[in-house]
Amino acid sequence: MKVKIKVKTETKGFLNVGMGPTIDLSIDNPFNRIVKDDEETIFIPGSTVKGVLRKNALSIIHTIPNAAPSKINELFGVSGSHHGKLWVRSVKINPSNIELLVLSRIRIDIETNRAIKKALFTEEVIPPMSNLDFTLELYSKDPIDLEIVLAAIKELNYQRFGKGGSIEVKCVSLEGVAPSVIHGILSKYNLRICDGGESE
Amino acid sequence: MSLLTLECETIEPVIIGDRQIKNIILSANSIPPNTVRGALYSKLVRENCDNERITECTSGLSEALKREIMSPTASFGPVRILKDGIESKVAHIFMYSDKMKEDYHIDTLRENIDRLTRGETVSDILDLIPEMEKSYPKSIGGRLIISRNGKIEKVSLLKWSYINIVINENTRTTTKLDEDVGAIFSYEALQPGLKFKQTIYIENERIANEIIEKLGGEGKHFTIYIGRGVTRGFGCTDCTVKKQALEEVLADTPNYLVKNNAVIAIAQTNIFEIKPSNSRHTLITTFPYIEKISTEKGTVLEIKKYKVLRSDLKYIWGKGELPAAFVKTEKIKSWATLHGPRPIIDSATPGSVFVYKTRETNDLNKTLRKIELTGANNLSRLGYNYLEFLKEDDFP
Repeated sequence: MKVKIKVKTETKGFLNVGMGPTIDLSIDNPFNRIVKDDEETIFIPGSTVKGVLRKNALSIIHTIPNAAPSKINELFGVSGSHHGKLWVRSVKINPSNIELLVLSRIRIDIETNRAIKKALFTEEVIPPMSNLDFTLELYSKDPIDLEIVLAAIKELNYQRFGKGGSIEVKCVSLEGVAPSVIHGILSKYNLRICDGGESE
Repeated sequence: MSLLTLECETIEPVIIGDRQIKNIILSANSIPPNTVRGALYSKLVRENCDNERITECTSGLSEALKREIMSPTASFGPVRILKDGIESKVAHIFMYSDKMKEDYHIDTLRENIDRLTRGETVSDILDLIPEMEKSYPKSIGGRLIISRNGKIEKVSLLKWSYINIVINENTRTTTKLDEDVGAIFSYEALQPGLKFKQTIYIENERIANEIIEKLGGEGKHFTIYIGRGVTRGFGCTDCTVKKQALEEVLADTPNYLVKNNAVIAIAQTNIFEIKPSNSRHTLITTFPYIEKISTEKGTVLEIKKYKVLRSDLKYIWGKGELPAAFVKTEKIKSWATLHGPRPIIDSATPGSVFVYKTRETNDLNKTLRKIELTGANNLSRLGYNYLEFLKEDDFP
């Protein structure tokens, strides 16, 4: 009943998923952090990943045979109504594994396309070619649901992630689904299986 | 009759919304017992049922377990937060700290047990409020505390905040601030790493065994998801479960403090009782205390000739002159997934103090321990009416 999907990605540019509380006054837009037993972890909420996947699924669902648009609400849920079948875990990053950078940026006036005066701000970012892994749980036996999720994962290569960032999907691993089903869908979307990454 | 003990640790932030101030949803300071029940039972359905609706589930769960999930009979006890491996408990309302020196505590209940159990009139509630040397006392009733090396320590749960923005349902993009004032909101959550224990009393042995089997077996780790936002990275909690027979646990009971044929009970959860009303205008009346506590042997504890004192010093109920219940009240309401909203009820808050007269009974220690583990009455199935009785060891 449960398919566990692990996705390994790599950042292509500078990535920020900010809105954490300001601790260091020199950083306006830091990452969210969790401190446990004096150890700090960077925390990217699962809602960020789920939101991007939902948007991707909306844009590609018409390409999947027999996939009705109502599948999106079934998979991702409806706020205030029901949980979806797809559960997305948060991304936790050990800061010692990634060298976080602080970049200075300026706000641009959308109407004039010019920099707004005195609108400098600083942003904490994950640099390019950094690993970003996340885990999904799909509570469904329907192969169409699995195909929609994997297609949405593939679409991550072409869409924005976080604030102006982008990532590249390196490989996926699946647990709880037959190998024949895995190979069929993954080859259709040109997704690679991570080493040791398939089991029923 | 089995007792299952859950031992858990939160892996991700847990959002248990309590109240909202403007755009900030504040977290509760504890995990309600029923929240864990909901998380556990929904895991059983999600991972075992062939259909996502429990009412249409044809395989994966036995009929008995399905009935238990739809109409729970198991009693999920208070969630005991652990601090440095020590189980916390709820402070009673006569435990005070010095407002200017928060780590200094006085327990005035300790000095007044004889008066209270003799049924002596407490003519002035101020007798029970201590004087502090330099500042004034603040009751820590209802707060979580642990006792370590004879000292009382407050248990504070670390909070974490998460800022979010409203998403437009139609365009699936963030709402611009000028379109929707207040589009940015934040949640307060309990930080990961929170350890807690909970005891579950299940009468049906087979249901208890099936639950353990579905969770992977005794001592095996499994995950449940607690609170809000569980499908998007919040609430993940790692747990193990252990089973003991109730009789095995009751074989080793502490010595409870019994004075003048009375015991003193501290509310560990909200306390209330529902009775048919004598009025023509309402069907039921609720009370922030339980008048009689019974077991299969009959009534074992009773509040007699009582007056109920509210902690803001007003008498609210009285049948006699002798105060036997000291309560702080709050309204509670809840929601059942299958049955919808429940009525709003006046209840006594955790930390409220009750003086019960004991009836003649053998094995009083065993009876009191059973009431502590399984709850005071059938409302314990909803996570209410759990009491802890004062023990002789509490006052060495």
